[in-house]
Amino acid sequence: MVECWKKALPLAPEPTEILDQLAKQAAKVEQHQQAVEYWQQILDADKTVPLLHRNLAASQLVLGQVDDAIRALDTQIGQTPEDAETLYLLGNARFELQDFAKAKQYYQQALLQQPDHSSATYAMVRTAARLGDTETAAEYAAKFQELEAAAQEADLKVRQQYDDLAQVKVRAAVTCAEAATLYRQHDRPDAAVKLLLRAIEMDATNAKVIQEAAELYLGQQKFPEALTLLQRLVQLDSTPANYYQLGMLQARLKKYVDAENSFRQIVKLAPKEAIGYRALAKFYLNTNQKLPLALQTAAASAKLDRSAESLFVWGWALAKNGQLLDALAALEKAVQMEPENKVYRELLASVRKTIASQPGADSP
Amino acid sequence: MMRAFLRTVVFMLVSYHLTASIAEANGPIRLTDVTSQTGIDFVHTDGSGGQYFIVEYVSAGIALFDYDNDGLIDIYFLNGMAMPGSTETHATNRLYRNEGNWRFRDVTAAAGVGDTGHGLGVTVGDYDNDGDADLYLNNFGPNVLYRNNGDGTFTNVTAAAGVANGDRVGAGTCFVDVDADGDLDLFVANYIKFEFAQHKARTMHGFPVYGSPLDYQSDADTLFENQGDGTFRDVSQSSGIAAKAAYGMGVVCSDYDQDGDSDVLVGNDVGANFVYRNDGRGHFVEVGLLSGFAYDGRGKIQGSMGVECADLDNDGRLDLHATSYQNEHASLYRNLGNGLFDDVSNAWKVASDTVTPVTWGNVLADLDNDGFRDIFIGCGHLYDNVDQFDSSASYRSQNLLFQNQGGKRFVNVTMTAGSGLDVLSSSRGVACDDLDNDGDLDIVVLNSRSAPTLLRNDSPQQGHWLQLDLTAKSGCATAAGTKVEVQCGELRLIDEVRCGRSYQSHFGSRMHFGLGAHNKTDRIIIHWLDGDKQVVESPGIDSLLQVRQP
Repeated sequence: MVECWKKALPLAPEPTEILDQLAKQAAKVEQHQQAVEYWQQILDADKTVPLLHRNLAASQLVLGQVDDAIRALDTQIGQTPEDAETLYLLGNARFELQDFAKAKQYYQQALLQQPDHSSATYAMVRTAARLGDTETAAEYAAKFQELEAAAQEADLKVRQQYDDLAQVKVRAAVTCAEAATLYRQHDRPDAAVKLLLRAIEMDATNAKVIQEAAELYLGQQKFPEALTLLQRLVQLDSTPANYYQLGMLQARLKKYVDAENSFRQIVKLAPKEAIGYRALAKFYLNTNQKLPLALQTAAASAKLDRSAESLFVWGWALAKNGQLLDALAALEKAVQMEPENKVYRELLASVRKTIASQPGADSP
Repeated sequence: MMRAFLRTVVFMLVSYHLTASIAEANGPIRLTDVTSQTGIDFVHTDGSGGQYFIVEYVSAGIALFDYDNDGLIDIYFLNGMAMPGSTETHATNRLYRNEGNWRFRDVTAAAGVGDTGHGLGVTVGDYDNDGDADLYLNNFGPNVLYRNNGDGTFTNVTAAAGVANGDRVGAGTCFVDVDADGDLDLFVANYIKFEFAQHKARTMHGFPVYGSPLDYQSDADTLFENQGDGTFRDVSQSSGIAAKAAYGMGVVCSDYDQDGDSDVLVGNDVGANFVYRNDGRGHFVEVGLLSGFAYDGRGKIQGSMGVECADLDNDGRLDLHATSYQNEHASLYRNLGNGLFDDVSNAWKVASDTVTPVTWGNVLADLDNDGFRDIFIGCGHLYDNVDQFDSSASYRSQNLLFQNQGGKRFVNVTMTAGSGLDVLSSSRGVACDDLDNDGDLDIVVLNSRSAPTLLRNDSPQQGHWLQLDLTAKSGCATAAGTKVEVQCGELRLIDEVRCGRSYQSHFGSRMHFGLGAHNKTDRIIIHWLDGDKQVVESPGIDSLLQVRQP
């Protein structure tokens, strides 16, 4: 990360933020001289960075540059007079100068602003001890131990929950899926599928990834592989759309019983939507089986949804069940709604022709 | 043709390595890796079988002591036992007898000290006052006390002595005469309460890693009082030692407050360090927070590992050093007197270079005999796979060496210290003593899951020195708690006899003082723990002085 920031530094038109990050990181690993140099660079360019003087002073104090630190802290306290950390650092500066009485005042001010400032509380213990005030030292020691106990308790709770393998796998799966998208965009479906399968291996609960992989398999005409994934998908994400996709593939693979069950599942999941009834109706009509049921489900679909498709399926079912005049009416409505739909027009023409060819028929 | 080519390549590689080492061995302290010539074939195991039991990573200490009283310091390595899932077999602790000229012979079986328990901490002390050094092992599982029979063999007297300490997870341990009654008591630090059934598997960035000690309950430390008849009594409760539970690691005993008795300082992992202040009668009050040793200078908890003690600025007070976990500096606490310490790690320039590695064994010793004690630190991460998910860390890393430049400022001289600091390992226990009796201190490092490292001190332009071997009038050959002041002109050096120190290790039974350019010692003042004061005038220099309490 630090290396990236360093590389970005000469390229950045406004390097202040990068310098600030570099400085903070240097201070974190106790490379305080380096931190001071970064902060000085910021100071030369932009003095408005929040808490700049405080951060600079913290490192200067560690380096023993007490006078410089006090100057920086005085500037900071002018800008943020109620900042507990600045007051605490001012206390540290006085402590370094062995001015324990003044240090104590600053620590007390810091604690007024932030009573749970544990470092300031600890500093009060040290300062009181240096002043020979054992009573105050003991008083703040007790407070400090309370704060520590609370912090430890919180830390313990985090640690007891901590085990990041599952989260890492989820994140890695997302990365694989994102890489797969790139491969798809560059027309390399095999590589994309490979990555998606890795993603599924790491996170078997990511329905989107499974769906994408299934779609790729379908595109590659690898139907058994797609079927396996779609079966997993509906286990994870039981939506009408996923069952529809599964049912369609099962029907294509002539797994008729399974397909019918999938379409029935849609009805079960969404009894007030047309999609399941329509799918079932189409399935029966396409496979030329259970035609009364096809009519029943098509009628339900058309009742719930007066779309061209529902009307078409209903018309088709009516025709298959010999109710040609009703079929004609439904199909005419469908064609009226979607006049460009060739399939609708062909079926309408076919029904008209059949009616016309029937004895005694004058017109459709 | 191919063979000739390979020879050339090998020669080039060797030449390069030699050149690199020679080029780097130009510092004031030079430590040469002589492991391969010593005959030591010990390889440490932590018993790991891939399941990452927490008791593996803490690993082990080391003891340097003269078990056969032949004047040469011998080496005892602790070893681990096979954990569930491990294929490791027959790992034992090993004792190597120093045969002189940097040759060592494995005498484990003959001496009878090949304990097969999971060795973590060790101390050495003459608990029965018979003039030889006994050995105590602080294990995961029952601890072991080996009584030295005085003939090169030991007898396991744990049961009779009553110091097995149950079935706990050990850490550092010290022989210490807490009640100044002339026999050595036994302080035993305990780490966590752990059984295999409680094991918690953890991952970091998806990689399997060891759990935190915070995943388990902490454990109180133990104090055994020597009853003078070969048996000990557990006085942990009555002495106040068991009043607090923590994750104990390294231990050192020292009269930090200069009130004439031995106090106990414990480095705790993920918690405040302890300072057990002794009332002189073996009763303790824990005063770590008020003393300033419990936390770092900002009041932050450290993952403390090894704890060592020495007067680094020659002001007559014993300072403290504690190693710590990654992203925390190893802390140096200056003893201010009045029982107070101040974290001077940054001010004395020993902080920043210790932040990146996990630091373990620490030695505060005058490696260049200039009159100021230097700091050697063993380093190495505890996760064997850390390189795979943390680019700033490494399981095997370079150890660190800081030269003391006059008392309040240290310089990192690792890169100029020679081949001994080129070694990349995952070090744990570190110990030092004069293994070749040439007057300078050598170093032995126990490396987790690999062979140890023996570093011969080849520092140039060394000053004079003096070593002391003290025997109390009780007959105790390891008179723990005895304080010594060496006076050479304006130079005042102090130290104490300690039995157990640093990271779960023991060394320094023979006291060592670097004297710098002083070519004579004015006097030595010995403060025996029973209150006797002994003055040795003009004791000479560059020699080992044996002193018996009158």
